[in-house]
Amino acid sequence: MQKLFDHTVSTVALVLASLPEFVIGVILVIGLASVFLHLLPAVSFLAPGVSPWDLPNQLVLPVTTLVLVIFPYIFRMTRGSVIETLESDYVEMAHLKGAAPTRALLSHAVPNALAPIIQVVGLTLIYLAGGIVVVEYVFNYPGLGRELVDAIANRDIPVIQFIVLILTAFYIVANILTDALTLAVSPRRRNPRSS
Amino acid sequence: MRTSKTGGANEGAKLRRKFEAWGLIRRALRTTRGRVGAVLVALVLIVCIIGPFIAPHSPTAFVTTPYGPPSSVALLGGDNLGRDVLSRVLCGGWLLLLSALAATLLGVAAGSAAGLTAAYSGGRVDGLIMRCVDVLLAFPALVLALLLVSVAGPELWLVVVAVALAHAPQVARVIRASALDIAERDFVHATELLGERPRRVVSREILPSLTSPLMVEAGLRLTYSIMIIAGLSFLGFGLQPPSPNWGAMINENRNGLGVGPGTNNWGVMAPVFLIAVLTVGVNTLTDTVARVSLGIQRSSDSQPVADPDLVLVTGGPA
Repeated sequence: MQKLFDHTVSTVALVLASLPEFVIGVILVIGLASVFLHLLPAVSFLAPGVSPWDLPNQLVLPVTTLVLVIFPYIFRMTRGSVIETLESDYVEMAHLKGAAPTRALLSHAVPNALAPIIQVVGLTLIYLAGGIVVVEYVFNYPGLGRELVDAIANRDIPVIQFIVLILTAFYIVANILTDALTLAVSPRRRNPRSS
Repeated sequence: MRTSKTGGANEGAKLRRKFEAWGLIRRALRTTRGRVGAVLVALVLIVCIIGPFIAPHSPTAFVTTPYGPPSSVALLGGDNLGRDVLSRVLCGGWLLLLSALAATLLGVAAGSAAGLTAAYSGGRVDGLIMRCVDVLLAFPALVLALLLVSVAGPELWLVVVAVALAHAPQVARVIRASALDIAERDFVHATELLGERPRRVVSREILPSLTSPLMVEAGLRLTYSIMIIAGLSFLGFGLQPPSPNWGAMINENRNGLGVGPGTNNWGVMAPVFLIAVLTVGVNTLTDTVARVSLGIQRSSDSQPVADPDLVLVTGGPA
């Protein structure tokens, strides 16, 4: 049963990791917004000055696409990292001293497995900030990446500089945050003697 | 089996036999997953190669009404200008596949050359090459390609070079890490003591032992190449209209998606389906090869192979 679950989710993750972003987006549009069902708007109409939160149904498809795009990376990293810690001596020790399997997993294995997961989440955040031009283009969403590409195409230097500045600031903040969070959550790093 | 004069050379030969490219693929094809991947890739390959010869119309001829429904003239209906969707789908694949292959070959060749040089030279050369790699890695692949293409114009060869340039630093890192380990082996030291020139040591001793990381890397890069080049065509860079191209077809025809009865959705659905089958096939095959070589490594502990999970993660989204 567990093996079947692992196999199924791993296969889904492999397929999702293989599909280009715009293919995932267009498949969602075909399935939910145009050909088969008409549940959600296929493109976004955001007038200048309108907050994205005012029209939440326009956010559903772009957000779902991005969730499907980043899911396999976080899934694979989490799976690999947890498997690695589950095979470690201290988790075996926890099992041997009679800890319940859930407790061994949650309070012994997971804290030590969190560090690489947080790193991947940090990388994903950086990617989401500037690298989703294609998804923005599919849903006609006025995002930063699209603005940057348009500005490059139009040789609009001040806009390019401004967006690059924003993205750089975001990269730095995201990097510092992930590093700080990694230090805070991993038990091994909390003790200065063992680096 | 064969015996050779020195134990070191024997070790090298053994490594090579075990990780021979065809052997790895054959092992991968013995698993269900590998077979599924191979069938998917073969399907798209057939469409790409024989497609242009069996296309019923010219891909740029107007044969039906815009978004015309499927008929006996146009089996999959018409696209946004009334051209035959089937013919455009059949003719629009081989250039995407060819440019993705070229970009992958170029990127893997440049990257592994840089990585091998860095690993074998060490010292200052190593530092210099790897710092350049770090600088290139700071750009997201798609943004780098977009930057080059939008500054210098949408030429296909430029797209290929841009994608290759985006791949090279990542390949260099992986190959350097694997080569560092091999360079310390006895059989490499033995050939060095025999007085071989460094270039020959790298190309004859180290490179053949890196088959499996190279293959996994090439497969992964091929998947990303297809993704990025199709994505660029979707954005309107790459091949220019009216020449047929799966990525561009999706963009051209998606305005007609589900606009009521009598419209034709095949113009989007067929290329989406083919791109999906192609990338899923290539990636599945790569994943299987990575798992197979990891399995061999675990049983014999003879060669550095990256963990498939981690390999696919470090590539990152686009």
